[in-house]
Amino acid sequence: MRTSEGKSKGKVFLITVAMFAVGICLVVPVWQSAVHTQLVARINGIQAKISSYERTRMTVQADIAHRTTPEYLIEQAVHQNINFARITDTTSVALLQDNR
Amino acid sequence: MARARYDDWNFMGESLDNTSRTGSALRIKHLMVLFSVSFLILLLLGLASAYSASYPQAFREGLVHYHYLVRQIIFVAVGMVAGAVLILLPEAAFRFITPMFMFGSLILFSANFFIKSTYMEYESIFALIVLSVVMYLSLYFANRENHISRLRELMFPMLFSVVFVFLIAVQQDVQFLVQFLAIVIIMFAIGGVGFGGVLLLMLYALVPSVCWVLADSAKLDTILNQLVPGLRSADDAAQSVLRQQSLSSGDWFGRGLGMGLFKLENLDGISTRYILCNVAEELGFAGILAIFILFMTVAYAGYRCSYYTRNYSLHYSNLSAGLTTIILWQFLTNVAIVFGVLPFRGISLPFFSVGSGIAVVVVECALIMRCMLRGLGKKEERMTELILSEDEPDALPVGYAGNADLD
Repeated sequence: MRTSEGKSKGKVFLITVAMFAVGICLVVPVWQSAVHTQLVARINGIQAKISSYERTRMTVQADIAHRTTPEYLIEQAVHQNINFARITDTTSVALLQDNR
Repeated sequence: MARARYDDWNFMGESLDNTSRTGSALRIKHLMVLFSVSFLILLLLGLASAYSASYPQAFREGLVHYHYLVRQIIFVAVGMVAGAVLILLPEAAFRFITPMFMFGSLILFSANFFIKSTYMEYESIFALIVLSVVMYLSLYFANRENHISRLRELMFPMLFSVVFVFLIAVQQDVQFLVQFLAIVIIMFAIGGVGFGGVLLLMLYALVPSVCWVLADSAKLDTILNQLVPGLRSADDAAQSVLRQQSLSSGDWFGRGLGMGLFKLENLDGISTRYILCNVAEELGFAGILAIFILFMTVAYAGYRCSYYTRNYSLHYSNLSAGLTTIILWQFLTNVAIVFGVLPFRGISLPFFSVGSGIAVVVVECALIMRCMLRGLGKKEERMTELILSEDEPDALPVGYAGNADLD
């Protein structure tokens, strides 16, 4: 037979467990929300980084395209005192020989 | 000894039959259950709300999202250990530590002027002071006659109240000053000091305090800025508007715990002084109403305990009423400030606000529980004495007559 002391201890234990369960029920959705917010913040950060890299890539690509234009080539030749000469038959033969 | 003739069992409207005796003990037991359940629900709800309101702040500071929850749980554990010690403390030891605690908190408060600790916020130290003063005044007034008329007996509590008022005035905002004065005046009233005594305290403490406030234009500006919306700075006004929007965005049942959106914006004090805005947004009107009911239940249990114990332990009666007043006052003031009724910067909401203040609130509740347990013990002791005295009509129980504390 259970004594009254044992019964009251059982009651206290049950109340403690119930309160613990209530506490968990209250905290779990907040925990989920916090993790969700954290992940959203991380995704936003990563997306901001991706946008920044994309902008850099496009700038670099535009720069390369600009540097391959004939106008840029002539401009740079003038700056660096380079003279372009038409390729004649003798020069082309000499070049071919050099390549071999 | 004017109260002596009323100080019998019939004073509380209780007759001496066995049914009434059992019923009386049962009432205190029911109060204890009511108080414990309300306390636990408030504590759990407070922890969940504090966690919900504080995780964006933790992100901003580069901490894990549960940082403030863990901190809060540690404070609750500290409060519970301190509370358990206070509940189990023998009567003589409890009476001994009461003045020691007050002097200790006075030293701590004075030291706070020079050393700024990051672990103990000013507000928590202030809460400790209020607690120690209430404990001391409860004991002091219990050892005096019910209607204190002599100036000599009022000098000591008056003196240290004025010292505390001076220290608060030197260190912090006007809101703490008003709060302290209100609690002390209420304690004087609970302790049976007549209107003259309260008036004297007001002359000694309130008049210099008002002069001090009026002398400092910055403090006067703060009050005026709160009272007159047009005088507020643009930032303050924006924060105030955000708070009002947050309060009204919850509708009837709120967005759900943890789903608030206003806390994600940089709203000042959303996890501390203005946490009620976040609670209103997440739990809605129903949540606020539930919290209000829970606080009122705690207050009912505390004041009822004070009423039941008044007849045989004035000390615990005063203490229970004083502690309940602190919790209720803090709750009502916080609500009034959040709703923009009172012109103050804000004080923390008991059980909910993030910070070490929760440890003090837990200790206060533990002390109310001690009052109930002692009341229950005394009641049973008193019943035995009365039953014995019925058998021997000439022998009156010890301490039956007179106003002196039976402890």
